[in-house]
Amino acid sequence: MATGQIVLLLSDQGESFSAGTVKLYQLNGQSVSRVDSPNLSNIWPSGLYGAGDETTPMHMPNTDGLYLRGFAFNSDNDPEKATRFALSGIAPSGNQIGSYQGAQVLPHIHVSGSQFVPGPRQQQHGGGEPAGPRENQTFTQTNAVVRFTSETNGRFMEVSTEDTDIFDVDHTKVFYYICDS
Amino acid sequence: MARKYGGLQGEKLTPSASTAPGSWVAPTEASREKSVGKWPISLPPGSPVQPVGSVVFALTSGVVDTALDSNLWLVADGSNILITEYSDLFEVIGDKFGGDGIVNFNLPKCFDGHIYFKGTTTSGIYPLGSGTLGEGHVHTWRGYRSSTGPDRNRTGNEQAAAAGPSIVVHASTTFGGIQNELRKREFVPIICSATTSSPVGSVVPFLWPGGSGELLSWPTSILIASGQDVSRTTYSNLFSLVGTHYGSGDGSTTFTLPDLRGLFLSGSRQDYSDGFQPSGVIPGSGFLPDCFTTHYHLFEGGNWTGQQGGASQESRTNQATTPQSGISNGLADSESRADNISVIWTIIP
Repeated sequence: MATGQIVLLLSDQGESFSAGTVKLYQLNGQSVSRVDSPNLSNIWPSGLYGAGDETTPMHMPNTDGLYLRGFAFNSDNDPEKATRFALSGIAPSGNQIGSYQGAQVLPHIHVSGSQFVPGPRQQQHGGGEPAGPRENQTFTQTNAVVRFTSETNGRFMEVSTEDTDIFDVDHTKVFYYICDS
Repeated sequence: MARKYGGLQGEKLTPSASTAPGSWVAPTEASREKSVGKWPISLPPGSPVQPVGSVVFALTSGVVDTALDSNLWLVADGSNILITEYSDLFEVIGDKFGGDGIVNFNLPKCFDGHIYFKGTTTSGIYPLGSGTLGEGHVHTWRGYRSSTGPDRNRTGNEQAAAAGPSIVVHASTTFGGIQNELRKREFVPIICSATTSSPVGSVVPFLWPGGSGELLSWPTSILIASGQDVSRTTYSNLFSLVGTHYGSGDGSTTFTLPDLRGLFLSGSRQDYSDGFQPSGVIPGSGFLPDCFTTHYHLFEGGNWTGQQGGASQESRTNQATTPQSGISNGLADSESRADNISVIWTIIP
């Protein structure tokens, strides 16, 4: 029952290799023959990760840079599972096994507070009532006087909304291989 | 609109003691999938294989101990080991994780540091990486410039274009000691030193792509890690190693498996020195929420830093899993996460 099993390998073993009767293919975007891998073909609908039909080779996903995330089934642990999308081609997408999801940073705000005014540095952690900026304090720039204030409440840098697509964690790199047995 | 393969929609059934090892079949959808002959048709029997140099996650220290006793598995704790004793493994990973490469070599250390596993397809690169917050992650701020009139609402880039200070993210790990984290559970990564089958009590991922979880058949040799209760007698081997660490089931005939649906897995933030004995409980093996590192943003450009007498102007944010109070809009996204592909986490019984 190793068919479809993913192996996390600490080293590159090339496009494919064998372990006993099991053949393993690297998930690097390569195409794999259905004839050579009938078991894998059995669980691999055509049209995944690229165009094709039952007579053309299967497209493997390119997992470079990807973490493995549990398929959510009906749980809420992947809160935006419905908007998962296809890594390449049109499927799998949505809450389907093998679909892709991009990184994001949880939108957040920063308290401006006294960090923005001259004087002793004060650490302003989030939470609780933030200290507002001292409105009469100014920074002098070459041609402008700038106050850090806000039209609304004068306290916050705004919620981050842009380019929140880069998020990574401390990791060891591995090569993913899928099994056909 | 996300396109579903085969137009699948509808309820997914939750496994229970009666449907374990993981029956996700919604009859109407199963028949539909079957009628189109797509996914999955059938699954051949056999045992999951673990080639030398592969990694699996052990559920408990009992699983670790049993795996170590077999002399086929090693904890990914950074140990320095002899080439003569583990020649097969050395042949695969060499000294890429350290060691002299002549007499000995190091295992990767997947505790208290590089605990996650990230896919790569490029050989020969340094096998570790650190958590980052995007350099492109910016905040809008409202700066009043007396020479230009009213308040202006600018992004960092716009501000730079206006020859004023721009906002640059500087992720800081030096205060707070908080790292970026994914929604996850922590386990003990163990490394296969000679090709064998996946050990009892290990977590193994499966990719059966295109499906939406309604499996037509599911072998009894695999359990979907979805928090369900399973029989203590049918899965006595697993029960003897995992016990009731993830829940006692009905208290007599069943026990509970960890729920890994929608989650990431990692090694432990705790150092693994003498193992996690005698308690047997792996720190972090419960659900852990996502968070991002404490960080601040600098205003750069112009004379800004000079006005601070050399000190940086900065703002800081705490580790955040929920937005701060007082902000009620624009927070539709609900988590921090890294690029990922979805797989089924299974447990070998």
